[in-house]
Amino acid sequence: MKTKDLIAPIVALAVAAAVLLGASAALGSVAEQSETAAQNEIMGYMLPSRPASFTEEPYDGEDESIRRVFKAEDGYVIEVETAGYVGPITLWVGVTNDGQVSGVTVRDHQETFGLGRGAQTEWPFLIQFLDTAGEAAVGDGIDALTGATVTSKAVTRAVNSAAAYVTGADVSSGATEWEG
Amino acid sequence: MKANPLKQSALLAVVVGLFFLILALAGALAPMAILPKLDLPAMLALTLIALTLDAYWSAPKLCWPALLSNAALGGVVFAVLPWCAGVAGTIPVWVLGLAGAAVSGATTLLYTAAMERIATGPKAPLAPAGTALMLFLAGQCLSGLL
Repeated sequence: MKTKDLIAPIVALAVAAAVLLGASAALGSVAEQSETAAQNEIMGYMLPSRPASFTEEPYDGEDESIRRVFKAEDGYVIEVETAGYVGPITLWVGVTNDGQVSGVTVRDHQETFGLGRGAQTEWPFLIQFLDTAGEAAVGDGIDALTGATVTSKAVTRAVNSAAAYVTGADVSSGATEWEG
Repeated sequence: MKANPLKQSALLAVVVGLFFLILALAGALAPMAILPKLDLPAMLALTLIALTLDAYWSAPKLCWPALLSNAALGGVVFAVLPWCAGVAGTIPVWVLGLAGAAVSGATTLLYTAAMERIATGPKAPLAPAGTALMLFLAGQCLSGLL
């Protein structure tokens, strides 16, 4: 092995780094705009009145799984992160002002192909959470995904946390404080 | 002309660079898509793609100085390129570098050793891809245990 053998990998690394830095700088603002637009569109489908805009509210309650809270006129969309089988699962849960779950979507996860990944794609599983109000339990009204009980329980826990924010079961809930 | 023993590191830089470029484009154009993360199986897969391309180019041979240099360069690739692409997140660069060097070095050693001993010979058409697939499955199981 000679010193000149190092030239090829170093040149390849430098070119790749330069291209990525350029792409990152060029796409930064586009990514931010697309993310906001897509976020509002998806959240709009999660509440019955299909609101076009949301206001982010600060959350400093005790439930560590609640990451962000977005408020609209007829309810909230709450971002919840829970521990799945492989890694954290991030969900958005739409909850109406009376505490009923009106939408659930998995935003990020690393669950296993063919098993826990169904939490994102298996509609019959996700639909079970609609109209619950913080009392959902696997084996008691909620059928777990086949071969993914840990993931199913994690999603259930997250949905219940989001509902608790609005119903007041979460004692530090900004929603209940706001309701007076 | 003798093949450059560090060609594999150049291919790794190209493969990892393309992977992050696709991630950056997908992140900008489809921000709500769930994209793969840079974890151990992803590092393993990218290293194996580079090794497979290299093996179709020239049959791999175990050479310790080249192996160590490739491992070190692999660490630099996995530390620098995610940072340039802005996808490193909260993972410190040195952690990515150490993990990248370990994955790159161990994978190169195992892949080269397997290719040297493969019954059909390293030039059989499916040998490089088949070896990579087997190593990926084994590595994925191992990373699940970790």
